[in-house]
Amino acid sequence: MITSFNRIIRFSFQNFWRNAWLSFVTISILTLTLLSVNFFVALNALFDYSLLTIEEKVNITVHFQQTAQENNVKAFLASLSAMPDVASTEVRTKEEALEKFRTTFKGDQHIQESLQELENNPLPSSVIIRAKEIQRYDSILAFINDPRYQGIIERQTFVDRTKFIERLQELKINARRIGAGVTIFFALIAALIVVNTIRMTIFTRRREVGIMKLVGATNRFIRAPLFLEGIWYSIASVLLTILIVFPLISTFQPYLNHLFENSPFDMLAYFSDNFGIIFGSQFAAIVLLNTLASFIAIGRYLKV
Amino acid sequence: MIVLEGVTKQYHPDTIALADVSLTIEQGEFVFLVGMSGAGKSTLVRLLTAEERATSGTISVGGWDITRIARRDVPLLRRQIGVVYQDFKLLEQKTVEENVSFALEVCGEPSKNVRTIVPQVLKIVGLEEKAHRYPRQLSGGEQQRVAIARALIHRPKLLIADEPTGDLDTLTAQTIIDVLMRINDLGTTLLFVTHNKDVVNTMKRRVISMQEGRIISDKLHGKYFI
Repeated sequence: MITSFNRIIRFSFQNFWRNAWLSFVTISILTLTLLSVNFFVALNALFDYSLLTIEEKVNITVHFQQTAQENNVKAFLASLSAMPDVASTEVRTKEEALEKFRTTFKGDQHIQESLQELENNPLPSSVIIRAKEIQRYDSILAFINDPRYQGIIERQTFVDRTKFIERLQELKINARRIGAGVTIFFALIAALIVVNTIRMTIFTRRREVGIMKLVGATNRFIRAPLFLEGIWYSIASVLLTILIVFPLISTFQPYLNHLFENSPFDMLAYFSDNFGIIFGSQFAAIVLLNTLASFIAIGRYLKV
Repeated sequence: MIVLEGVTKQYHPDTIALADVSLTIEQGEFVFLVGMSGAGKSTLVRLLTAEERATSGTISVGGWDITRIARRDVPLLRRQIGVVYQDFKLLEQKTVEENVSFALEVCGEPSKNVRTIVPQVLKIVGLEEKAHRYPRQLSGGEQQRVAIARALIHRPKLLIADEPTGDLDTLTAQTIIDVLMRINDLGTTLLFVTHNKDVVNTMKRRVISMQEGRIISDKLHGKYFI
């Protein structure tokens, strides 16, 4: 048993090296397929990040009335923060609002002079609210518009963004739908390439398979080294892909930084953090396809 | 050694490759099987190596009824019969030594035995000096001798040579025949399939002649007359 196992491993390595050209072509095709899969993975991540960035920019700002009682505002804020739909609240006092206003119009001397002439701070205190998900803004809005709080709220800024939010939601749903469709389509193409590459590899070896049968080899003894060869192809192509993907991302990272100036997307970190799931699943898929394709392709030539 | 009783092989209703063939070949015999192309010689060989199944009749090799042999038993049968083909059927990516040892390794022979037996067999066919060459680095005659060595490695009681000299020049063909004669002298039954008239006529051995799927003559010291 051990002798046979050792021989199967030896034969698989021998075949791998002695059919160097065939191995090279097979690994190249598998690597190119994996590279395009990873390009798609990167594109998906980038798109998700873009949506997230846009989503994060969406918020509701509630401006309180100058005359609002502090305890009423505190009660409103406490109820708001307790809502399961709310991700965060950021309170801005009248003084902070004035300071921000000053900073924003730092260069405008006319505004600065006007501010100095004012006896009272005209800017209201406010709270910036962010929802956990974009569709949860509806319930937050309903809470804000409750008649109980109309005595303390001067205005909220969300109304004019409703259309934008609706479009964004629509875009997100469509993007996910199209993304899923493209992913399935792309996965099918990649699977077809892998299966046909392995079929081609086995096809070029059909005579060899026939000869092995004629000298008394069992099907298992013929299949096992070919399956193992498939695993060597898979390991080599995944390693080669990793060796190409990371330097490639490093090269393109500055362009990504430029694209998302305020909050750059770290693609290298994305691929490093998800290394196991990205390359592990690719390896598993390619081994599975290899085994399946080998099993079907060899079967035809074993009928000797 | 080989017993065929009423063997028929029919591919299509109108294509009969073998028609009611019966013959017996005893242990240690050297038998020529001759006939024109399409006479049924190759079909007979394919039935003996279980590459195909007979439509009717019974076939037994070394006392083993292989007429309805199970798929899983086919490798066992092939390890007991040595076959030499016209196109050599060598594994191009393996060296001479590896081609020969492969036939032993597939049946789980311990490595120690493989290392002992292979050089001995290569010596019999005169290729011990070329053990590490690949088939493409050998002449036609040498490649055929590798095929013979591979066929002999299991020490089979039956060796089938299917047109072994078909692609070789006269001189090289004679060396192959000499090797096969030596093997037969050691007690191995030899079924030599050929349409080489000169070879058959000079040897004066048993000759079974076939035509259109039937045995038309079976002479103990026969000649090629078709």
